[in-house]
Amino acid sequence: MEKTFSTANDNAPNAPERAQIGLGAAEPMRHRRITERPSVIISQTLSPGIYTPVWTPKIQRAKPSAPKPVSPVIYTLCAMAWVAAVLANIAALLFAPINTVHLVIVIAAVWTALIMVWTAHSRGQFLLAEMAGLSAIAAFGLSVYITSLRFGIAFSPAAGTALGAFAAAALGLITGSKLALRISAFAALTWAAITLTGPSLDFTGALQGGLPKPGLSWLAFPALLGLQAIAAARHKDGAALSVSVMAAYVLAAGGLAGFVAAGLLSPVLAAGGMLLGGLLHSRFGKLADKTQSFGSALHVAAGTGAMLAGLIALQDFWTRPGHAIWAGAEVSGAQWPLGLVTGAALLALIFIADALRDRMSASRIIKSAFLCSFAAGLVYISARPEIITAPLADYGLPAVPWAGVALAGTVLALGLGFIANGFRRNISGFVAIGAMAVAGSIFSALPAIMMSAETGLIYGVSAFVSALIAASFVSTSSAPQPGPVLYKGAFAND
Amino acid sequence: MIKTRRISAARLALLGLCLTALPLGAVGAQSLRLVSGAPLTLPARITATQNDSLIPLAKVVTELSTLSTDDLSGDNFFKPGDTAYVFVSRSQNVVYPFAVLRRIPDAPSEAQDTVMIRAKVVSVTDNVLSLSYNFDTVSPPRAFITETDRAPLAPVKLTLAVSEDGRASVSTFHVGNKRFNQRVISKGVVPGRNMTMASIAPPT
Repeated sequence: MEKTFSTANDNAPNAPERAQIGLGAAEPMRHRRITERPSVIISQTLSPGIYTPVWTPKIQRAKPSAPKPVSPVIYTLCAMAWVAAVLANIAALLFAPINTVHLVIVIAAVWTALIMVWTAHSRGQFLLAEMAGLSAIAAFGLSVYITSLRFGIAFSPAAGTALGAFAAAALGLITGSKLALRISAFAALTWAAITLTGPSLDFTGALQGGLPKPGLSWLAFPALLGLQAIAAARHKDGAALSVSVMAAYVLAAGGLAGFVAAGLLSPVLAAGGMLLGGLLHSRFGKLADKTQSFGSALHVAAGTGAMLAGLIALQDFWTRPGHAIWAGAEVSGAQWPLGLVTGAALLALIFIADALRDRMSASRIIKSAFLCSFAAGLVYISARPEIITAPLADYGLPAVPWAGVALAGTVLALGLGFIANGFRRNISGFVAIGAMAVAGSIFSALPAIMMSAETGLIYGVSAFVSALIAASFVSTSSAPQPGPVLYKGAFAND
Repeated sequence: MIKTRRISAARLALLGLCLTALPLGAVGAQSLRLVSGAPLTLPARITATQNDSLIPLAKVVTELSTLSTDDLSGDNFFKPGDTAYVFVSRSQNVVYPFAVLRRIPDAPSEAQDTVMIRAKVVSVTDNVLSLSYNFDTVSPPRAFITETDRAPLAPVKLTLAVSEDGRASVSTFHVGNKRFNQRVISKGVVPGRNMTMASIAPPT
């Protein structure tokens, strides 16, 4: 009875070393050419405990051969067809043939451009492939335009931009075209701007009679941003990923501001949503950080920035609740179910992210529970401030602005910690976001901090205690980590 | 030696099919609706036009845009965001809504002069529904917008083609005595021949 185990071994010693440790005869050079990963065959004979490792070449499956370039004749024909289609489209715009012919011309341009992308890739003409991809996106946009103009089907500018963004993202994902990915990212940003400023974002009655009913835009946006994130990570395009994340935050912040302006959402809940949403993004960024995923630092930076922005907003609420921007801060009955469900979902996801990050270690569970409790408690107390204002008033202690000053101290500690983390890991984005948070917090809370000696003391103590707690959350060593794998000038990966 | 990189031809072809399917599907569905939909002519009011942009746009309000459930049969309770099915009678050249429902009835109406149009409830105020239709924003021929600008007091009417599922498309715009046909797929015409077929018998 014999069992044979074949195990890949990347740490296989070289032939002289094997000879020294008695692993058998040196492997013939011809075998070493066959495989880059020598394997060990451990033969288990009838006498267990006696293993005879034998070096044998591992027959690897042959790598797929490089794509065979298309013949120059076919390549030339494809190029000619592509150029002819582009010229035909220019002529069609000038001379306006009947609508059916115009549509056929546009669709022909889409197909010839895609074929040109493939043939140019096949022949290593990557610049030409990028140009062909660009023309494919343009032809698709033109087809939407022609459909509206010549057939009377009213595609709104938002819909046209969204379709172009989807098409470019898909092309970028398939071909690895960074130009297409960046076009898609900027189109998403434009779509967010159009959606927020145009009539397509309908807040009317969104919170009346239950949960809001999301329109197509609200469903398509996450799909597009997810597609862009996948494509950008796959092809390591930090610029496209940055713009996609920016579009997501523009849409989220604009949507929250729109709901608040329409009187459908308490500004306190909006700030709390930003705090919890940013915290969630940051925790998933840290989870991605652990697996060295592309762009993890960007997610950590963006999430932490949003979290600190939400925290500064709540700090502002507790230092000057009478300001005009906090008018309508009372949370109405219809908002409670939505707020509680959303908050619970965000907190559960934060906890899951932390659990996945440290594999449910006891310390991580305690830390994560503390973090979730703090965030949830802060948002809940801000939504119902009478919970602490009335008891403190019985003792003659003013919750306003003391709670705001204490939050300012927390922001100071977190901001400085983020700056230090940025310097330690050589990520300029961390430093910039931490500095902005510290400056914004101080700018907002300075009058309250300077109000009396007590408020100044609370600010200092809060900052110190927050720094201690934040330091206890740091689980990594203080040794400088390897520098991030940067794309040009930003922090896509760390 | 040419440095090459393999990309999936199948995925690229799939992308091409998707990019092609969207405009072709939209045009095909629109043309099918215009050809086979039930005609319905409504008085309309043009509230805003945009003729100097890339795509001419016009916002349209009809008498079906605001309906009171007190005056109609059917359902009485609607929420913003609900889908409403408006039933319109077009008998004896008089068009009027007579019912509004929250769902399509199981048994189709046997009356040949009844048309069902799908709408979305925008707001509800004192049992008065504000409804939006998919022909509220249209992309008419530029000449139509020019004509409405030139003769702002001329009565405007829309001829809709309504499919069985309630979706409507504008087939003809009327301003005064002038009519502007919405664009459909052009039919191939043999040179020297006229294949346009009249849908209404000429006056005798």
